[in-house]
Amino acid sequence: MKDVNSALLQAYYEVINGLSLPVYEGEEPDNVTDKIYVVISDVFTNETSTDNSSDVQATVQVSVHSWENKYNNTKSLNTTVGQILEAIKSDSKSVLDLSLYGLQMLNLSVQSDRTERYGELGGRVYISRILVFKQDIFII
Amino acid sequence: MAEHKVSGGTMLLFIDPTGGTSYDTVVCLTSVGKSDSVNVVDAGSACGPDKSPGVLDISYSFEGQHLQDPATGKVSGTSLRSLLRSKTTIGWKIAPETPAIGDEIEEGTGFLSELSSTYAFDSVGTFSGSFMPYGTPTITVAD
Repeated sequence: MKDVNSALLQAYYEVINGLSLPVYEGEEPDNVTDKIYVVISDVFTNETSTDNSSDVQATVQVSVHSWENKYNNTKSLNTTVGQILEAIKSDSKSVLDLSLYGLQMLNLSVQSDRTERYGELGGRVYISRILVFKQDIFII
Repeated sequence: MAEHKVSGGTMLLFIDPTGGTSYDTVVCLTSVGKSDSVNVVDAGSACGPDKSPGVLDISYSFEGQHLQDPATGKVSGTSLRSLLRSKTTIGWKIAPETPAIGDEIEEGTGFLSELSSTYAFDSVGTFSGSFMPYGTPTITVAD
């Protein structure tokens, strides 16, 4: 059975990178200066194969982090998340094209979306939106 | 397109209220189903079993959420109820919005045979129904 993690991460990376947002896989580097940046991480898969096909159900976490000195609110963060949601799932039937990797995404939904306020760290006030996307994938 | 599965939410129901092929999309669909069966003619006797295929029975079902004042090109539960009560001959098609090579496309004419609506206190209004085809519908495979 083919591994889907790299293909999924790459597909999400390309969509978000296309919005000219700083995007990292796994975790951000120490010296990030951008006030809003994205981290794609934590692909979880469960095999859902049939007798004749290899399939998985996968989730991918897309974290959008924002910081401001002293005070921060969610306005810019929410605008950025809106752009990401539009790009990844423009309508109720949207899926990402994984055909380049020999995969077919069958369904795509936002499994959860939560706002996390981390408070002040080193003079910066951090707020993040943690999106988890769920998808069924047919391994062609 | 190469070998592929049918993605959720891609197989849609289209209806032409005038019986032709100028289809409107049924909204907001949550499922659409096809049911084909052949009744069994049982002529078994003491000489042994003797079963043969009888009449082909075809029906289609759908479920969705009511959308009031739908935009042009869409049809929802309220309009479907009017079509059922007037026993209108409808044109219908079940297919993806943009079929890829190999996708199943089925279409024909028929009539709405059942429609139920539920307006629950704590959830959105929903409808479910079924329709029967006139004759045997056409099945094609996109190429």
